Amino acid sequence: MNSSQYVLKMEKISKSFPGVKALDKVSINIRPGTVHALMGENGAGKSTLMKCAFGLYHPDSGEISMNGEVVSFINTRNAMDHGIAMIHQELHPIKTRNVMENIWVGRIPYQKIAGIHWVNEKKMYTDTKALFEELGIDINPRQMVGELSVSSCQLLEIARAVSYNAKVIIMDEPTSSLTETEAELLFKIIRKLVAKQVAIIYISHKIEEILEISDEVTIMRDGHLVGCWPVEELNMEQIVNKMVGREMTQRFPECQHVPGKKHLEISHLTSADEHSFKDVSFDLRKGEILGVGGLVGAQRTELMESIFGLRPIASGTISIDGEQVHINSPQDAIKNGMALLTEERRASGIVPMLSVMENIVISNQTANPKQYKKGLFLNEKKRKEDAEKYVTSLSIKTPGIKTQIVNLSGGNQQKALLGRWMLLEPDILILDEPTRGIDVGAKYEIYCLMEEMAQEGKCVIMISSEMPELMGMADRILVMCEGHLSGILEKDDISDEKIMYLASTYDAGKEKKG
Amino acid sequence: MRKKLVSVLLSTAMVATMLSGCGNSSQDTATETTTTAATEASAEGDTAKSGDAPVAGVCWYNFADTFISNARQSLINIAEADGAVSVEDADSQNDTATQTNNMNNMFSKDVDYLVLNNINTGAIDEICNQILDQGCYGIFANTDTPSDANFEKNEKLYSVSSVATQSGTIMGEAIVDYWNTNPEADRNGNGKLDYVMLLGIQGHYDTTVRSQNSVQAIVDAGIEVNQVGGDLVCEYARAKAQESVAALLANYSDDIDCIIACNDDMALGAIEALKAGGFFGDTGKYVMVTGVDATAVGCDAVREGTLLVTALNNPITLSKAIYKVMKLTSNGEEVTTDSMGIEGVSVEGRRVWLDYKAITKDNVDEAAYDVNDTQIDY
Amino acid sequence: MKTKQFDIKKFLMNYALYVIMILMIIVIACISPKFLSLRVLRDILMQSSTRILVALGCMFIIVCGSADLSGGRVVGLAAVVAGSFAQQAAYYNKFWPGVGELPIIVPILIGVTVGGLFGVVSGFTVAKLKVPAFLATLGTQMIAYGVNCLYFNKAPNNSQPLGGYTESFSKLGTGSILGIPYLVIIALGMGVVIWLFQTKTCLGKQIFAVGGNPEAAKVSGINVFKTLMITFTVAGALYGLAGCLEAARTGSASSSYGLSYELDAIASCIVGGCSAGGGVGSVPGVIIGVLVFNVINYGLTFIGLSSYWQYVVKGAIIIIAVALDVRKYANKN
Repeated sequence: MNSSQYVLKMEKISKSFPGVKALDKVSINIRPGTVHALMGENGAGKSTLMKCAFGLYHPDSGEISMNGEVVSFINTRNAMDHGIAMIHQELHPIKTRNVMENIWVGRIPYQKIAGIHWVNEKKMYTDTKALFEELGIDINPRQMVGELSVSSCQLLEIARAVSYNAKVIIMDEPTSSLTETEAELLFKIIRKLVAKQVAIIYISHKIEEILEISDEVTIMRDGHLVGCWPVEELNMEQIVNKMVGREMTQRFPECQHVPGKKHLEISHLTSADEHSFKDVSFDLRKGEILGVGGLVGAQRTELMESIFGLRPIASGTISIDGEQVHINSPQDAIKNGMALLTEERRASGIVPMLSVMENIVISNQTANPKQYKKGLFLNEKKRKEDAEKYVTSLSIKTPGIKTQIVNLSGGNQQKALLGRWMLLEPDILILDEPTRGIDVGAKYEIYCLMEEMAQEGKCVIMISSEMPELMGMADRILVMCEGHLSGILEKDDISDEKIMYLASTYDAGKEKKG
Repeated sequence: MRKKLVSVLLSTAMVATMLSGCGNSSQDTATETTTTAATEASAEGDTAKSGDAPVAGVCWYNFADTFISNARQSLINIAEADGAVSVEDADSQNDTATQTNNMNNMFSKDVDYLVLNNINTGAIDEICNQILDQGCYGIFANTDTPSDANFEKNEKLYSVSSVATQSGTIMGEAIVDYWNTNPEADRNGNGKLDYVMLLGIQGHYDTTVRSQNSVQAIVDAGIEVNQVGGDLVCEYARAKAQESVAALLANYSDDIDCIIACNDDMALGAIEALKAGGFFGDTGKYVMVTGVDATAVGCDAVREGTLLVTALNNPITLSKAIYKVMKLTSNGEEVTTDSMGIEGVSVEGRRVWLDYKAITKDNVDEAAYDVNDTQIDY
Repeated sequence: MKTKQFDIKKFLMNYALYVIMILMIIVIACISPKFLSLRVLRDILMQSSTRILVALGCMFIIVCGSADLSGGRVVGLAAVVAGSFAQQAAYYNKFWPGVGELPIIVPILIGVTVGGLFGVVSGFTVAKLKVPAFLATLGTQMIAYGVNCLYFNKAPNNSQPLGGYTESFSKLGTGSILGIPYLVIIALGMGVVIWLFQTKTCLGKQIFAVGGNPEAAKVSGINVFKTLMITFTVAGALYGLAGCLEAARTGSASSSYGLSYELDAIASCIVGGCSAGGGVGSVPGVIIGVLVFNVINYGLTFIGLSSYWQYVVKGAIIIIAVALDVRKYANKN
């Protein structure tokens, strides 16, 4: 085979970290003008492989070549000069500077007058404008990046990559925080790039997406290459099976729970922030899973955080078992049997430096210190038992309960956080995007856990932006749009179209109700 | 709502405390004079309230310094009792930039006298020129005296300062005395005077003259000297001196004849370390320790017999001399040793010199001074 | 082969501080064998005692993700205030002429209370008013110094260094039991108490959580405000205690006491393994951090080197320690 038909060729790449062999002779070949999906469970080595391609890591062995020429990147700048760009899962734009400065940072166009390099604002603006027009991006180059939405930041990153004349753009879970419409826009841009012979390496957990956008799929498992196939040869089950290495018969557990009597009642809840949600009312029965759908900006997270006492409310009431409760802080919420798994695992979930054990017991230990008292001090044995119980029952993959949680993969961190809340034995479990950025296997386990909770008669609320997940798990789906409750769909009434319809216009919901 | 109110109140209170803590009015009397002066300054620089009394702006280098604090208080008391000159002052907080700001403030208030306890010693010429341009009297207090050229240029320039070298000489001479009368002072019998030098701050004027002149006085008396340990920079702090001397004693316990400290606080720290190391009292072991400042605790140590000597630079004499120069000049009288008429004060041209006084066990009671002593006419 | 090499690296990273300290002791002992004596050990521990208390207070604050610049000046204030209540009844230059001789517990309680109060103010400013800790504590530092100068200058004292302590108060600073100075017993005792508090109690764990990720701590039901308030108050009380002991140890007190102790304390904490980002720190580490600096101070003076060498060596050690620390975390991402 003629090697130069590939823009990027990585051969037999191996990379070890202390105690772990992250990559074992993995090869991947990227053709120009294609979207090459890279898939695998968390911890399969996708990100490590891509970091090798981008010069962030140096492979222990193996060879990287571009257009048939062997290359070795000493750093990311070096990789970028060779035409490789990477858009990370977590973006780090300079929030206090404007869009165009973010794009051209490090190579801002200048004019030399009197021996001094003066910034050429005009050129920077027209260059940015031209770049955005080419890609069909509608962002004002002079806008502060801090004011942009996550999706706009992502587009900005892509534009930046293009501005480097990148031949290969690596996208690490680009849609994980995008809504479906935003994702569509991203796909449009990807197609434009592909038409220009740019190659895209696309890392994602969303199989539907992969089937839609990619040309070839490389699948990895546990640091090994499973194989590479043209997308036409694969279907959803095959991908899942190849990723987990076992037969996955179902994506969702069987629904066996039966909703009981009304437990939580929210009426006319309005946020203290006038840009947030208004007049939201709903109720929740014991043993019920309530899905919450909507687009980004629908204020779903804000609503749940307000119910949990993290954000102030202006009016409205929260009642549990018919009795009104006053929740002004998470402490109050926890006392009333609530638990909230937040959307941002890193920002407001894990305490990175602390051990898995500390992360699991922290909430219960704070809420019920008596359980953990042994004389003046803490009962270490009880703490260990509690942590181990959930490490086992949730099958959290960790070297031990004393390992710092930051060393675990995202899915295992998420499970540990779930353990934190389950330890409290809450009556109402609120999950905000519980499966974001988590591999298929772990997702299934989390679904099973939700099902189990519901069977035990607990209330579960799940915010999700993934339509199949909502439809697969929820008994009812509450849909929000721009801070308004636009409708609640009953189980037999749920469909893609209806959710999308309600999510895009809250007036429709009103009409329907009225 | 109530919580919010409390936080607002608390923060306001904190700001208020902070202002009073950092401002230049650390005493009621000072506040009074400052306000008086401010009113005067607003009335186009001309004095109004206390008759025709001229206004003196005093920039002290650091209110927190014991010596300055006493001199400052004494000057305020004298001015209040006498009434011929009114005084307002400012704290340079041991910072040249703050001093410059304070000076400019005084200039813009149109003071009649600028009394400067100058720490920006590198900029004396420039400051003298500023004073000349301003046209007010300039008095350099307790600091380097300006050059002859500066005195020739400006008729209204004075300096009131102690003879700094004396502080070192007094320590050296006391050591020589003791050495010559007590043969056992040479503790290891090597015929050399083994001394430890506790420095304040490197390059600091007091540190330089005190360390150099004390050793010079010993060498001048024909005694061979040997420095034990390195340069111990203890920043005039008791704790640091105590720690440094403790470390040295652990190694050189028998080889130290004498500890020369550039101030009393460090000398007392050394004494504390010596006591812990088995010196003084019933032990019969003695090491000479000398200091400067004659602080109350320093005098206690002199009385106790642990501190051999301390040099007194009387803050009251300083404030009296400053005030007297202002009073004399405002009356158009000449400043001479006679017209000044204060003990230990001599005048040389427009330079007023204040003598240091050696305080030993014999005259320790003469070290006492009183900030409420406002007598200036003898 | 490879794994072995890695182990040495890891060992150096985790125990660099101990290695440095032992190397230093060996070098000094080679120059002057007298260094290896009980007396030297006693001196170093004694000189470290007050610093350990300040550093432990500082550690609390660093662990909970904050910063504190007020330490040194609060030590100074507590020293002066405690000292002013610890004078003999008959002392001629008495700060409070009307007050008789008080039992030793009184000045100590007053000192600790003064420190604690400053902790409350700092804590409130940081936790409630949301002033960045650096600025908030810069403010309290200034207030503490100003208040100290005002108090110290009160007639009849007029800024004279304090003296004439009661016998029991002086004994506190200079006495010992079975050859172990009281100061060392107090400092190490507090170390044990704080170690227990930090690792064995719920509140101690909460401080780590707040420092490691305040948002997560809040969501987990921890009262972040309360935790910060307690942390700052405990730290302030420790500064206060350190001030009392500093006064007793030196047999005096003045408004210049405690200058830049907070920077020494922060350096000791960082060198002792606290992460500047919060959430990490241990009592033994901090105590070793303090000891390293005091071994340098003492040892270099001991062998007759000029004080300037102390700065050079201390600076180098801070750089090495932080560089290693950064590396520790770099490995994890």
